[in-house]
Amino acid sequence: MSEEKIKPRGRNKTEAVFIYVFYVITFAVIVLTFWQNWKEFCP
Amino acid sequence: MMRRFVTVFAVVILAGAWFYSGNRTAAEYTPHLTQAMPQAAGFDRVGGSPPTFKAKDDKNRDMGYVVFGEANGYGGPLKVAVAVDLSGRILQTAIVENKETPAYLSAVLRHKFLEKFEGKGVGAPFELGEDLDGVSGATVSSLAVAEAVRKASHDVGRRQFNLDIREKRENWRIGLPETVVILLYLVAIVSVFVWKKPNVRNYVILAGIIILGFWLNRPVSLPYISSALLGYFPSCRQNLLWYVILFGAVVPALFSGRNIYCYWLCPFGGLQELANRVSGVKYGANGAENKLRVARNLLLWFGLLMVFLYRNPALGNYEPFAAIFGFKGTGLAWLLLSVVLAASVFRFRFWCSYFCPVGAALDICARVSRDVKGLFGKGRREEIKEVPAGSAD
Repeated sequence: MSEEKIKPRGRNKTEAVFIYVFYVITFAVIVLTFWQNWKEFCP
Repeated sequence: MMRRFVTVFAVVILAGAWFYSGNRTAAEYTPHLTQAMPQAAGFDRVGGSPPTFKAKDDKNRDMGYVVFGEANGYGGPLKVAVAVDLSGRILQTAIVENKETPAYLSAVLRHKFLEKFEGKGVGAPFELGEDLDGVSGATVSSLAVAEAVRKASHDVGRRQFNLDIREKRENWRIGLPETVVILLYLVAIVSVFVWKKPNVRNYVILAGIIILGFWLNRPVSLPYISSALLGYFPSCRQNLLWYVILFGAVVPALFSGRNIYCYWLCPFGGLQELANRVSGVKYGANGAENKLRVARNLLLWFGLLMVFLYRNPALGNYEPFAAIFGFKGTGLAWLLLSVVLAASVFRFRFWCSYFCPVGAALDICARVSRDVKGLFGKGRREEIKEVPAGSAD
């Protein structure tokens, strides 16, 4: 994904990187939550 | 074409998981008997459905009975074992199987709700508001426990103690929460379809944060949807709120093709908007970021797959709602909440845009409705005037 593509309507590169970092962290925490649920309910 | 193939494949996998798990039935009672009456040395089955067991001591003398009862809770069936002495008094109750969200179940246990049954006669009404007090913030779970204990106790009372226990017809639970939520949904629906006044939205969403969020802690979440898909419906008379909240979101999407709940009522969406106002940066997703939205459908699919495979709605629950609105949650839920609210400062409705399974499900309902209308020649697709949940403009 090129940097030009993720630069919308005046958003700068730092903001775009922020969103991607938050996205990855959130996704990782959700995966961990699924794993925790599975450990709790399907031992 | 590829997209259609992937969609069909995903639906087929989900349907397969649903049918596969539906054919696995395991009703194993014996491991739970000692949990209900640990002092007993043995148990004899004396019949009943669900079965009743007579407890024996080490000299083979009768000690009492253990009987099972079941009711639908927040996440699905909840099974209890009730130990009764020979005079018909409850000795102990234990939850032997449940599919509740852990935060709600731990609230029930923390408030020692199970101990409130001890010493009561098997013919007691076991009704919240009558001889029992529910657990605030875990009302559906406490209602289910009370109903399961009532069924078990009344059953053993009739069969083993020859008591004439008549089941009272359940009263409709229509109080302040039910009335306020019905009014809130009506205002949102009328504002969209009749008044057509989008500026009312700010007040409605604020009311959603307060009422559905912090007061009742009942935002629509994946367990609502997955419980309904599994056929786990709680008692309508006792849980009218459950039906209003879920069907008030799904039915307008299915009939009008518009997802009103997310943008007008969702308390978590509203909170993210408040966080976004802190920065004043109201950016929506651009073309490239829109591709990240695939996570919403992926997570909805994976959550439902887990739920269907194990017939347990709590397995697919990854939303941080209980943490923010009920102040109950695991460390991961609090971490998730912090990250999402921080991201919402920079990105309008960050959770709604990329991760919300409820938004994904309601959008699918709305799209199906529009496609069906299109098929039957009701003209071209309606233009959706509201801002989609995940975009700012």
